Amino acid sequence: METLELKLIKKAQRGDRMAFRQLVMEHSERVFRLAWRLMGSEDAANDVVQDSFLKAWTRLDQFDYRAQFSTWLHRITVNTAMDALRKQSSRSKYEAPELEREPMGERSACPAETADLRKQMQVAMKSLTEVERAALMLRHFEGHSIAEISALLKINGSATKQAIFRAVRKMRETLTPLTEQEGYSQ
Amino acid sequence: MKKITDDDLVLVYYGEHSDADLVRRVAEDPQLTNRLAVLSEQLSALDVAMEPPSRSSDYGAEVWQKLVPTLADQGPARKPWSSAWLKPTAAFASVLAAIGVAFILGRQTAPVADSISNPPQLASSVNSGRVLASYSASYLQQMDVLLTGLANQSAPADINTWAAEMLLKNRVVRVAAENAEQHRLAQLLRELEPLLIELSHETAVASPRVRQRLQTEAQDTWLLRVRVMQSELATQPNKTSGLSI
Repeated sequence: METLELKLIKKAQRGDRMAFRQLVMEHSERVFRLAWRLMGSEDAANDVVQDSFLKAWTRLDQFDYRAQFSTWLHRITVNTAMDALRKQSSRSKYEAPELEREPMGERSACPAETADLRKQMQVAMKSLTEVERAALMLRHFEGHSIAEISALLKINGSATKQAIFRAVRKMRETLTPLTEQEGYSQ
Repeated sequence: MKKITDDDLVLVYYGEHSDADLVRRVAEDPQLTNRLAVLSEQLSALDVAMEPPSRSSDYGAEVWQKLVPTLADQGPARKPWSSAWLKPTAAFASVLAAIGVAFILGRQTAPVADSISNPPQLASSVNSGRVLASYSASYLQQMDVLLTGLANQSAPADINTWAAEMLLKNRVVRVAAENAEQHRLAQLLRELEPLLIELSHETAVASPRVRQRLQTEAQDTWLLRVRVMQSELATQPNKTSGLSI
Protein backbone atom coordinates (compact mmCIF):
# COMPACT_ATOMS: atom_id res chain seq x y z
CA MET A 1 0.00 0.00 0.00
CA GLU A 2 1.40 3.37 -0.99
CA THR A 3 1.29 5.88 1.81
CA LEU A 4 0.13 9.44 1.37
CA GLU A 5 3.69 10.60 1.94
CA LEU A 6 5.04 8.44 -0.87
CA LYS A 7 2.42 9.85 -3.19
CA LEU A 8 3.44 13.37 -2.19
CA ILE A 9 7.11 12.63 -2.76
CA LYS A 10 6.45 11.20 -6.21
CA LYS A 11 4.36 14.23 -7.14
CA ALA A 12 6.99 16.60 -5.78
CA GLN A 13 9.67 14.79 -7.78
CA ARG A 14 7.65 15.61 -10.87
CA GLY A 15 7.67 19.28 -9.89
CA ASP A 16 4.40 19.55 -7.98
CA ARG A 17 4.97 22.38 -5.52
CA MET A 18 1.78 21.84 -3.61
CA ALA A 19 2.88 18.30 -2.86
CA PHE A 20 6.22 19.61 -1.64
CA ARG A 21 4.36 22.19 0.44
CA GLN A 22 2.59 19.35 2.22
CA LEU A 23 5.94 17.72 2.98
CA VAL A 24 7.29 21.01 4.33
CA MET A 25 4.24 21.44 6.52
CA GLU A 26 4.62 17.92 7.81
CA HIS A 27 8.32 17.96 8.61
CA SER A 28 9.13 21.59 9.52
CA GLU A 29 8.83 21.19 13.24
CA ARG A 30 10.99 18.11 13.40
CA VAL A 31 13.65 19.72 11.22
CA PHE A 32 13.59 22.79 13.43
CA ARG A 33 14.09 20.73 16.58
CA LEU A 34 17.13 19.04 15.12
CA ALA A 35 18.54 22.30 13.79
CA TRP A 36 18.00 24.08 17.10
CA ARG A 37 19.87 21.43 19.03
CA LEU A 38 22.78 21.57 16.64
CA MET A 39 22.90 25.33 16.21
CA GLY A 40 21.81 26.55 19.63
CA SER A 41 19.76 29.54 18.55
CA GLU A 42 16.38 30.08 16.97
CA ASP A 43 17.64 32.38 14.25
CA ALA A 44 20.41 30.05 13.18
CA ALA A 45 18.05 27.07 13.38
CA ASN A 46 15.46 28.82 11.21
CA ASP A 47 18.13 29.53 8.61
CA VAL A 48 19.10 25.87 8.61
CA VAL A 49 15.45 24.86 8.22
CA GLN A 50 15.08 27.08 5.15
CA ASP A 51 18.34 25.90 3.60
CA SER A 52 17.54 22.27 4.28
CA PHE A 53 14.16 22.38 2.57
CA LEU A 54 15.64 24.24 -0.36
CA LYS A 55 18.30 21.55 -0.74
CA ALA A 56 15.66 18.85 -0.39
CA TRP A 57 13.66 20.46 -3.22
CA THR A 58 16.61 20.71 -5.56
CA ARG A 59 17.80 17.17 -4.76
CA LEU A 60 14.48 15.37 -4.74
CA ASP A 61 15.59 13.26 -7.68
CA GLN A 62 18.24 11.73 -5.40
CA PHE A 63 15.64 10.41 -2.98
CA ASP A 64 15.44 6.74 -3.93
CA TYR A 65 12.92 5.35 -1.40
CA ARG A 66 15.45 3.10 0.28
CA ALA A 67 15.21 5.20 3.43
CA GLN A 68 12.25 7.02 4.88
CA PHE A 69 11.81 10.57 3.66
CA SER A 70 12.28 11.83 7.23
CA THR A 71 15.65 10.04 7.43
CA TRP A 72 16.78 11.52 4.15
CA LEU A 73 15.68 14.99 5.19
CA HIS A 74 17.35 14.51 8.55
CA ARG A 75 20.68 13.83 6.85
CA ILE A 76 20.33 16.94 4.73
CA THR A 77 19.57 18.98 7.84
CA VAL A 78 22.58 17.65 9.74
CA ASN A 79 24.89 18.38 6.82
CA THR A 80 23.44 21.85 6.40
CA ALA A 81 23.84 22.56 10.10
CA MET A 82 27.39 21.26 10.15
CA ASP A 83 28.29 23.47 7.19
CA ALA A 84 26.75 26.44 8.98
CA LEU A 85 28.62 25.61 12.17
CA ARG A 86 31.91 25.37 10.34
CA LYS A 87 31.32 28.80 8.85
CA GLN A 88 30.18 30.10 12.21
CA SER A 89 33.18 28.70 14.04
CA SER A 90 35.49 30.76 11.92
CA ARG A 91 33.60 33.87 13.04
CA SER A 92 32.51 33.29 16.62
CA LYS A 93 31.85 30.77 19.32
CA TYR A 94 28.67 28.77 19.71
CA GLU A 95 25.62 30.78 20.55
CA ALA A 96 24.12 29.16 23.59
CA PRO A 97 20.38 28.48 23.65
CA GLU A 98 18.23 31.45 24.52
CA LEU A 99 17.00 31.29 28.08
CA GLU A 100 14.47 34.06 28.06
CA ARG A 101 11.91 31.96 26.29
CA GLU A 102 9.22 30.06 28.10
CA PRO A 103 10.00 26.44 28.72
CA MET A 104 7.51 24.09 27.12
CA GLY A 105 5.85 20.78 27.66
CA GLU A 106 5.14 18.57 30.60
CA ARG A 107 8.67 18.69 31.85
CA SER A 108 8.45 22.37 32.63
CA ALA A 109 6.43 21.58 35.71
CA CYS A 110 9.19 22.98 37.94
CA PRO A 111 10.09 26.25 36.23
CA ALA A 112 12.70 27.31 38.75
CA GLU A 113 14.60 24.07 38.52
CA THR A 114 14.28 23.99 34.78
CA ALA A 115 15.49 27.55 34.43
CA ASP A 116 18.43 26.77 36.69
CA LEU A 117 19.21 23.70 34.66
CA ARG A 118 19.02 25.63 31.42
CA LYS A 119 21.31 28.29 32.81
CA GLN A 120 23.87 25.72 33.85
CA MET A 121 23.53 24.04 30.51
CA GLN A 122 24.27 27.32 28.78
CA VAL A 123 27.56 27.41 30.64
CA ALA A 124 28.29 23.82 29.72
CA MET A 125 27.36 24.30 26.07
CA LYS A 126 29.75 27.20 25.78
CA SER A 127 32.55 24.94 26.85
CA LEU A 128 31.87 22.40 24.08
CA THR A 129 33.45 22.53 20.69
CA GLU A 130 31.16 22.29 17.65
CA VAL A 131 32.18 18.69 17.11
CA GLU A 132 31.62 17.73 20.75
CA ARG A 133 28.19 19.30 20.80
CA ALA A 134 27.14 17.86 17.45
CA ALA A 135 28.39 14.38 18.38
CA LEU A 136 26.52 14.44 21.69
CA MET A 137 23.32 15.82 20.18
CA LEU A 138 23.35 13.31 17.34
CA ARG A 139 23.97 10.40 19.69
CA HIS A 140 21.68 11.46 22.51
CA PHE A 141 18.74 13.04 20.73
CA GLU A 142 18.85 11.56 17.27
CA GLY A 143 20.03 8.05 18.06
CA HIS A 144 22.80 7.93 15.49
CA SER A 145 25.45 5.27 15.96
CA ILE A 146 29.09 6.22 16.42
CA ALA A 147 29.74 5.07 12.87
CA GLU A 148 26.94 7.24 11.47
CA ILE A 149 28.11 10.26 13.44
CA SER A 150 31.65 9.73 12.18
CA ALA A 151 30.37 9.80 8.63
CA LEU A 152 28.23 12.87 9.24
CA LEU A 153 30.99 14.81 10.97
CA LYS A 154 33.69 13.48 8.66
CA ILE A 155 35.90 12.31 11.51
CA ASN A 156 37.01 8.81 12.48
CA GLY A 157 35.23 6.59 14.98
CA SER A 158 37.77 7.09 17.72
CA ALA A 159 37.57 10.85 17.42
CA THR A 160 33.77 10.63 17.56
CA LYS A 161 33.88 8.56 20.74
CA GLN A 162 36.34 10.94 22.33
CA ALA A 163 34.15 13.91 21.38
CA ILE A 164 31.16 12.26 23.05
CA PHE A 165 33.19 11.36 26.13
CA ARG A 166 34.46 14.91 26.52
CA ALA A 167 30.99 16.35 25.99
CA VAL A 168 29.45 14.01 28.55
CA ARG A 169 32.20 14.80 31.04
CA LYS A 170 31.60 18.52 30.66
CA MET A 171 27.85 18.04 30.96
CA ARG A 172 28.22 15.91 34.05
CA GLU A 173 30.55 18.39 35.70
CA THR A 174 27.88 21.02 35.20
CA LEU A 175 24.87 18.91 36.03
CA THR A 176 26.16 16.97 39.01
CA PRO A 177 25.62 19.73 41.59
CA LEU A 178 22.07 20.26 40.31
CA THR A 179 21.02 16.64 40.09
CA GLU A 180 22.38 15.96 43.55
CA GLN A 181 20.18 18.64 45.08
CA GLU A 182 17.49 17.09 47.19
CA GLY A 183 14.11 17.11 45.57
CA TYR A 184 15.41 17.51 42.07
CA SER A 185 13.29 15.78 39.54
CA GLN A 186 12.80 15.93 35.86
CA MET B 1 40.14 -7.63 35.17
CA LYS B 2 39.74 -4.42 33.22
CA LYS B 3 38.63 -1.43 35.26
CA ILE B 4 35.35 -0.07 33.98
CA THR B 5 35.58 3.65 33.39
CA ASP B 6 32.89 6.29 33.03
CA ASP B 7 33.65 6.32 29.32
CA ASP B 8 32.85 2.60 29.20
CA LEU B 9 29.55 3.32 30.91
CA VAL B 10 28.75 6.03 28.38
CA LEU B 11 29.20 3.47 25.61
CA VAL B 12 27.08 0.92 27.50
CA TYR B 13 24.36 3.52 28.05
CA TYR B 14 24.21 4.31 24.35
CA GLY B 15 24.40 0.62 23.37
CA GLU B 16 27.74 1.13 21.67
CA HIS B 17 30.11 -1.00 23.70
CA SER B 18 31.62 -3.80 21.67
CA ASP B 19 32.92 -5.77 24.67
CA ALA B 20 30.12 -8.17 25.51
CA ASP B 21 31.78 -9.38 28.71
CA LEU B 22 32.09 -5.86 29.98
CA VAL B 23 28.42 -5.16 29.28
CA ARG B 24 27.49 -8.30 31.18
CA ARG B 25 29.68 -7.26 34.11
CA VAL B 26 27.87 -3.93 34.25
CA ALA B 27 24.54 -5.74 34.20
CA GLU B 28 25.50 -8.15 36.96
CA ASP B 29 27.41 -5.91 39.36
CA PRO B 30 25.07 -3.79 41.53
CA GLN B 31 27.75 -1.13 42.03
CA LEU B 32 28.30 -0.74 38.31
CA THR B 33 24.58 -0.84 37.65
CA ASN B 34 24.19 1.94 40.16
CA ARG B 35 26.88 4.01 38.44
CA LEU B 36 25.06 3.47 35.17
CA ALA B 37 21.79 4.58 36.75
CA VAL B 38 23.42 7.82 37.96
CA LEU B 39 24.81 8.46 34.50
CA SER B 40 21.41 7.72 32.99
CA GLU B 41 19.74 10.21 35.33
CA GLN B 42 22.27 12.92 34.54
CA LEU B 43 21.97 12.42 30.82
CA SER B 44 18.20 12.54 31.16
CA ALA B 45 18.61 16.03 32.58
CA LEU B 46 19.95 16.96 29.18
CA ASP B 47 16.48 16.30 27.79
CA VAL B 48 15.00 19.01 29.96
CA ALA B 49 17.75 21.51 29.36
CA MET B 50 17.90 21.04 25.62
CA GLU B 51 14.19 21.02 24.89
CA PRO B 52 13.78 23.20 21.80
CA PRO B 53 11.38 26.15 21.93
CA SER B 54 7.89 25.34 20.76
CA ARG B 55 6.72 26.35 17.32
CA SER B 56 3.31 27.72 16.56
CA SER B 57 0.86 25.59 14.63
CA ASP B 58 1.55 27.88 11.66
CA TYR B 59 5.25 27.18 11.66
CA GLY B 60 5.11 24.93 8.60
CA ALA B 61 3.20 27.61 6.71
CA GLU B 62 5.76 30.24 7.76
CA VAL B 63 8.61 28.09 6.50
CA TRP B 64 6.77 27.56 3.25
CA GLN B 65 6.08 31.26 2.74
CA LYS B 66 9.77 32.06 3.08
CA LEU B 67 10.68 29.17 0.86
CA VAL B 68 8.41 29.98 -2.05
CA PRO B 69 10.48 32.85 -3.53
CA THR B 70 13.63 30.72 -3.56
CA LEU B 71 11.82 27.76 -5.10
CA ALA B 72 10.81 29.96 -7.98
CA ASP B 73 14.46 30.22 -8.94
CA GLN B 74 15.26 26.56 -8.56
CA GLY B 75 13.15 23.72 -9.85
CA PRO B 76 13.56 20.20 -8.57
CA ALA B 77 15.72 17.81 -10.51
CA ARG B 78 13.00 15.68 -12.04
CA LYS B 79 12.72 12.05 -11.18
CA PRO B 80 12.09 9.89 -14.24
CA TRP B 81 8.76 8.09 -14.12
CA SER B 82 10.35 4.70 -14.66
CA SER B 83 12.59 4.68 -11.61
CA ALA B 84 9.83 5.91 -9.35
CA TRP B 85 7.59 3.11 -10.57
CA LEU B 86 10.10 0.31 -10.40
CA LYS B 87 11.55 0.78 -6.96
CA PRO B 88 9.68 -0.87 -4.12
CA THR B 89 9.13 1.12 -0.97
CA ALA B 90 11.64 0.77 1.81
CA ALA B 91 8.98 -0.68 4.07
CA PHE B 92 7.95 -3.31 1.56
CA ALA B 93 11.52 -4.34 0.86
CA SER B 94 12.41 -4.64 4.51
CA VAL B 95 9.28 -6.64 5.27
CA LEU B 96 10.27 -9.07 2.53
CA ALA B 97 13.75 -9.20 3.99
CA ALA B 98 12.34 -9.82 7.45
CA ILE B 99 10.17 -12.66 6.17
CA GLY B 100 13.15 -14.10 4.32
CA VAL B 101 15.32 -14.04 7.38
CA ALA B 102 12.82 -16.27 9.20
CA PHE B 103 14.11 -19.16 7.12
CA ILE B 104 17.70 -18.35 7.81
CA LEU B 105 17.65 -17.67 11.51
CA GLY B 106 18.65 -20.75 13.34
CA ARG B 107 21.54 -19.35 15.18
CA GLN B 108 22.19 -20.02 18.77
CA THR B 109 21.48 -17.04 20.86
CA ALA B 110 22.14 -15.74 24.28
CA PRO B 111 20.59 -14.52 27.51
CA VAL B 112 20.25 -10.81 27.87
CA ALA B 113 19.71 -8.28 30.59
CA ASP B 114 16.08 -7.47 31.24
CA SER B 115 16.49 -3.75 31.55
CA ILE B 116 19.22 -1.35 32.45
CA SER B 117 16.57 0.93 33.83
CA ASN B 118 15.50 -1.71 36.29
CA PRO B 119 18.66 -2.69 38.20
CA PRO B 120 17.14 -5.16 40.69
CA GLN B 121 15.81 -7.31 37.88
CA LEU B 122 18.86 -6.94 35.74
CA ALA B 123 21.24 -9.48 37.19
CA SER B 124 18.60 -12.08 37.81
CA SER B 125 17.40 -11.73 34.27
CA VAL B 126 20.92 -12.14 32.93
CA ASN B 127 21.28 -15.28 35.00
CA SER B 128 17.91 -16.64 34.06
CA GLY B 129 19.26 -18.34 30.98
CA ARG B 130 16.47 -17.16 28.73
CA VAL B 131 17.56 -17.11 25.16
CA LEU B 132 17.86 -14.00 23.09
CA ALA B 133 15.14 -15.13 20.73
CA SER B 134 12.51 -15.50 23.40
CA TYR B 135 13.56 -12.31 25.18
CA SER B 136 13.54 -10.39 21.94
CA ALA B 137 10.10 -11.72 21.07
CA SER B 138 8.88 -10.62 24.47
CA TYR B 139 10.48 -7.21 24.02
CA LEU B 140 8.91 -6.85 20.59
CA GLN B 141 5.57 -7.74 22.11
CA GLN B 142 5.94 -4.76 24.45
CA MET B 143 6.96 -2.68 21.46
CA ASP B 144 3.85 -3.89 19.66
CA VAL B 145 1.69 -2.67 22.56
CA LEU B 146 3.39 0.72 22.52
CA LEU B 147 3.05 1.08 18.74
CA THR B 148 -0.56 -0.04 18.81
CA GLY B 149 -1.30 2.57 21.45
CA LEU B 150 0.43 5.15 19.33
CA ALA B 151 -1.33 4.10 16.15
CA ASN B 152 -4.71 4.12 17.83
CA GLN B 153 -3.96 7.31 19.72
CA SER B 154 -4.68 5.44 22.92
CA ALA B 155 -1.18 5.68 24.37
CA PRO B 156 -1.03 6.73 28.02
CA ALA B 157 -0.09 10.24 29.06
CA ASP B 158 3.24 9.05 30.39
CA ILE B 159 4.29 7.58 27.07
CA ASN B 160 7.56 9.54 27.39
CA THR B 161 8.57 7.56 30.46
CA TRP B 162 7.46 4.34 28.90
CA ALA B 163 9.42 5.08 25.74
CA ALA B 164 12.52 5.96 27.78
CA GLU B 165 12.40 2.55 29.45
CA MET B 166 11.86 0.86 26.12
CA LEU B 167 14.79 2.78 24.68
CA LEU B 168 17.19 1.27 27.18
CA LYS B 169 15.79 -2.19 26.63
CA ASN B 170 16.03 -1.65 22.91
CA ARG B 171 19.75 -0.88 23.21
CA VAL B 172 20.46 -3.90 25.38
CA VAL B 173 18.63 -6.26 23.05
CA ARG B 174 20.29 -4.70 20.02
CA VAL B 175 23.77 -5.23 21.47
CA ALA B 176 22.85 -8.82 22.28
CA ALA B 177 21.48 -9.33 18.78
CA GLU B 178 24.63 -7.88 17.24
CA ASN B 179 26.78 -10.19 19.31
CA ALA B 180 24.65 -13.15 18.33
CA GLU B 181 24.98 -12.01 14.71
CA GLN B 182 21.24 -11.65 14.32
CA HIS B 183 21.72 -8.82 11.90
CA ARG B 184 18.12 -8.31 10.85
CA LEU B 185 16.88 -8.09 14.38
CA ALA B 186 19.73 -5.74 15.26
CA GLN B 187 18.92 -3.61 12.23
CA LEU B 188 15.23 -3.39 13.13
CA LEU B 189 16.10 -2.35 16.67
CA ARG B 190 18.61 0.19 15.39
CA GLU B 191 15.92 1.68 13.16
CA LEU B 192 13.41 1.74 16.00
CA GLU B 193 15.77 3.70 18.23
CA PRO B 194 15.12 7.16 16.73
CA LEU B 195 11.37 6.67 17.18
CA LEU B 196 11.85 5.76 20.84
CA ILE B 197 14.20 8.68 21.34
CA GLU B 198 11.67 11.03 19.83
CA LEU B 199 8.90 9.65 21.99
CA SER B 200 11.01 9.78 25.14
CA HIS B 201 12.64 13.15 24.61
CA GLU B 202 10.11 15.25 22.87
CA THR B 203 6.94 16.75 24.08
CA ALA B 204 5.75 15.06 20.93
CA VAL B 205 2.54 13.95 22.49
CA ALA B 206 1.69 17.59 23.17
CA SER B 207 1.93 18.56 19.51
CA PRO B 208 -1.01 17.37 17.40
CA ARG B 209 1.04 17.58 14.21
CA VAL B 210 3.93 15.52 15.57
CA ARG B 211 1.54 13.09 17.18
CA GLN B 212 -0.21 12.64 13.88
CA ARG B 213 3.10 11.96 12.14
CA LEU B 214 4.15 9.43 14.76
CA GLN B 215 0.76 7.77 14.53
CA THR B 216 1.17 7.42 10.77
CA GLU B 217 4.72 6.08 11.16
CA ALA B 218 3.57 3.53 13.72
CA GLN B 219 0.70 2.41 11.49
CA ASP B 220 2.43 2.41 8.13
CA THR B 221 5.95 1.40 8.98
CA TRP B 222 6.62 -0.09 12.35
CA LEU B 223 3.72 -2.26 13.42
CA LEU B 224 4.00 -4.72 10.56
CA ARG B 225 7.78 -4.94 10.80
CA VAL B 226 7.70 -5.52 14.53
CA ARG B 227 4.97 -8.15 14.23
CA VAL B 228 6.75 -10.04 11.49
CA MET B 229 9.95 -10.13 13.51
CA GLN B 230 8.05 -11.00 16.67
CA SER B 231 6.31 -14.03 15.22
CA GLU B 232 9.53 -15.08 13.58
CA LEU B 233 11.40 -15.06 16.88
CA ALA B 234 8.54 -16.69 18.76
CA THR B 235 8.68 -19.69 16.47
CA GLN B 236 12.44 -20.17 16.89
CA PRO B 237 13.35 -23.11 19.12
CA ASN B 238 14.78 -22.04 22.46
CA LYS B 239 18.48 -22.60 22.50
CA THR B 240 21.24 -21.57 24.82
CA SER B 241 24.83 -21.04 23.97
CA GLY B 242 28.04 -19.40 24.96
CA LEU B 243 27.17 -16.29 23.02
CA SER B 244 26.22 -13.52 25.36
CA ILE B 245 25.65 -9.82 25.50
